[in-house]
Amino acid sequence: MRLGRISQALGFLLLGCGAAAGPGPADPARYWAGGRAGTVEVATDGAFSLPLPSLTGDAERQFFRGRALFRDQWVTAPASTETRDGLGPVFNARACFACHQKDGRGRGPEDGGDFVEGVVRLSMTMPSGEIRPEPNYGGQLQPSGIYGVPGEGRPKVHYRAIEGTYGDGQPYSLRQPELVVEALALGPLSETVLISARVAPMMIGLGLLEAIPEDELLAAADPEDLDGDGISGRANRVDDVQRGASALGRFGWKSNQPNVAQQTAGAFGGDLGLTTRLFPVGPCSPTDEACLAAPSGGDPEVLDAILEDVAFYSKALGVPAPRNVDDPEVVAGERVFDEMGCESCHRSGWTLGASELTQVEGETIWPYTDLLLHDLGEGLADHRPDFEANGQEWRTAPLWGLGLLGQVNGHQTLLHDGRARSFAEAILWHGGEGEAAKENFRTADAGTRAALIRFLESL
Amino acid sequence: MRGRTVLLLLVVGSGAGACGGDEEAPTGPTQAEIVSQYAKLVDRNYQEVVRTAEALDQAIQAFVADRTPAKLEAAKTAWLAARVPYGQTEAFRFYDGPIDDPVDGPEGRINPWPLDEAYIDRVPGADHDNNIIGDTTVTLDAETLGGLNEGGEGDVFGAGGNFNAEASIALGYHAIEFMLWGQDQNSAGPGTRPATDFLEPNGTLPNGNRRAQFLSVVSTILVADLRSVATQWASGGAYRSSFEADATTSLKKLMGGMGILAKGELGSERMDVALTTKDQEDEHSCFSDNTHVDFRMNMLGIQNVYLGRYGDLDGPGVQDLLRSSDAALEADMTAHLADLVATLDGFSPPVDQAISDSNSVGFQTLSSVVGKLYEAGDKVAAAAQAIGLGTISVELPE
Ligand code: HEC
Ligand code: HEC
Repeated sequence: MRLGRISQALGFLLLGCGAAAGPGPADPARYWAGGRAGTVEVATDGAFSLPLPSLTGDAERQFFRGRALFRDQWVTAPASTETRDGLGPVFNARACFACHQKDGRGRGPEDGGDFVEGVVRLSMTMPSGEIRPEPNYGGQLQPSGIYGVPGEGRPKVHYRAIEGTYGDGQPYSLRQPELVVEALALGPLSETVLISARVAPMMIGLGLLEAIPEDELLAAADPEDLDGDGISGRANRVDDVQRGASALGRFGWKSNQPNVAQQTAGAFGGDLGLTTRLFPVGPCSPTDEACLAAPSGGDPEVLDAILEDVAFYSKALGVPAPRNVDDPEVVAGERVFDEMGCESCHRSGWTLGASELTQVEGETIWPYTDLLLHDLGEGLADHRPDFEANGQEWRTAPLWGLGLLGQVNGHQTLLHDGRARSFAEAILWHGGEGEAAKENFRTADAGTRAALIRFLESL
Repeated sequence: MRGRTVLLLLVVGSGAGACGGDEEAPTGPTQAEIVSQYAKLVDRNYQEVVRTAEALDQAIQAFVADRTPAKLEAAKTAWLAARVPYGQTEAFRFYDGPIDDPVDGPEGRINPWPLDEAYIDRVPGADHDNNIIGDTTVTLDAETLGGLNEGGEGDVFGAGGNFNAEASIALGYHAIEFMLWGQDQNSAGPGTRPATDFLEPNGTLPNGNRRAQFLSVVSTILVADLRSVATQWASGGAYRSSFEADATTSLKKLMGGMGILAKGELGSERMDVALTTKDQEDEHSCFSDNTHVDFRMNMLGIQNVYLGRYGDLDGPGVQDLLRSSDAALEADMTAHLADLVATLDGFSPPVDQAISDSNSVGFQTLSSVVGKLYEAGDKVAAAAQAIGLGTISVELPE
């Protein structure tokens, strides 16, 4: 409706005529996906890149500083810009923005392509059950290096087609990825290594997700499936490095990070090879001499002020308003979403609790996630435990903003490793606790399926 | 052809009442007139950019042919002169125009930052040949160097799917600046690279010939890239024609560009980040200590667009349109921009000393300038609203 069409005509411009006057559509509360303080009314390719509209003063300044630092590339040490050096020596990318393009998400590669717009996590499970990094390559593969330091290896993806048919006989084809790491610089990977390829997720609304009260999340969990609906939902417990304690996991594809600040520091360390106060050790393998010999960019390489600005930025991106919310087909699709049982994991509404972003407190948001872990079956399994998440469990992915993915990132690759090429494929991959919902979708008639997809596109 | 354009414009310029006087006049210039004047000033500004870059290139090629201290000094002087018009053109960014078109805009080859010095050349602390100049397997020609440059967002991310983590920033004005001045090791002044770094044999650094060759090629690339942008804005140029064809859309773009430069780019990225890190060299022209000029020229560029002026070329600008719709906002905005220009003109360099001491007068000045630049961005958005353009975003990134 209005929003979609006009903003396309305006190209890069924000569409705001409706903004000041109040909600465009008749209803629905869900139009304010990020709450009044967190929704941006933009549907262009910049839709994921705007601050919470409620930011002002120093917070606004901090947001823009963080944005610059999220986008700028880091450089080799020693450089004149001392605060911007220390990249690597091995790394995945030179800027946060390389993976989180336009604050959106990384693309799953084509067949035979390199898996680079995300990370390949590595670990070993000891006989005792303890989880450790791969002894040579660490917890993550870094495919690139500064000049003279070879990258650790090239992750490549090959797909195998899996054919299926909808209930009405219409065929579909999914692609099952297989990851191989070529050109390993430090010898073969351990035989018992566990590998998990994950694309970079979208950056929108993370500060809002952080403000969902912990007790409400835990109240939604049902680890033993006591209500017998076939859907358990478990909370991950992960390390909170700053507090030196265990904490509820919320971020990452397996809820493997407790908060945005730690995720940010982890990204500096793992993805860019930059040390921070939280993670003071560099990315070099103990056997990688070229890496170990390279100069450091300081101790730590990332100033606290920079870490704080980037973490704040990561929390303060607004959520785009849904489009077409009162289109009859979309309204029908919303009902289908509920009827098929999607809502049991992709929980639509949450009311926010305390937050450092005080203006969002008490707001209702519509992220379509419970942030909990669910077993989605063998098809999606990475067989790699991550804290308390097992090898078949994934965090319910938030669905907000996904309807704009094509516009912002120019692709529609979904799921943790980008294997799905459309909403329908993403749904058809659901197994395990999601099997019943998937079957509801697979066996529904074409019109019902189309309405559900229209609804997802409106988000 | 050229002469006629200018003549026409002078007529428009004097008719538009930029000189004020008659308050009662209900009709200001049309949107089309503003857009057309804008195109002319962009054209004029880029012509100046190309001219000064060609002069820089001549000085560089002369130095490469005869590597004396005097010729190095001449090249530095030419570089400083070239930055004056270029800085003003940055007000023409941020709307996917010729300079930063997501598919082929050369901004990431012209002015990328921060430069990856150790990727390009040996520096104290990394005295080896693992860099473009030291690595003799790298052919120093335009094509190879283009492939080794990953110049920020326009390049890496625009069209998507061209992620190249191996390449870094190796081209543009700042690469040339690094070659001419060397790292700024000295807190009291700019870098002091001797001309002998380019000699071979008997140079002060290994690979003198390759260093000279690198400088020569990067300079050639810069001129070619700048010409490609200028051509699109020249009268009859492809982009200019389409830009003038849709005045309302273009007016939104050009105002969006002013606002985004003020707020996100100059205010935040170039000034506020440095004030927060207090890193002496977290400044754009760190080798030459010329960052104060970058600041001034960016600000002047914003004011140019507002006034419809470049140098002695003058005509109807956003100001004139605003005056006929909201005279109070126009007066406020005119004063606000003039104040910013004056403050930055009065700011005493070098920037690196100001940003490293939060008690210094310079630091305080820059800090207040950041706040005012944010306000300037918001005023641009308000002006667009007043002119009847609806809401434009000055918040979107490039
Ligand atoms: C090499 C690609 C890559 C780079 C570079 C990168 N990220 Fe990420 N980012 C990811 C991946 C993959 C995940 C999911 C991680 C997981 O599930 O374990 C992620 C997750 C995140 C999340 C959590 C999002 C969510 O919804 O849970 C935040 C916040 C984040 N990154 C911030 C950053 C910041 C800040 C930087 C730069 C310092 C950065 N990232 C650089 C790939 C990247
Ligand atoms: C048992 C819980 C559960 C149910 C029920 C469920 N989902 Fe999911 N959904 C998930 C999890 C977990 C993921 C992340 C899986 C992954 O990335 O491998 C996911 C991912 C998705 C994605 C991809 C999101 C992204 O960011 O890539 C879409 C789209 C989606 N679900 C839609 C649906 C729809 C529509 C339904 C109902 C037909 C549904 N889901 C039912 C748990 C569930």
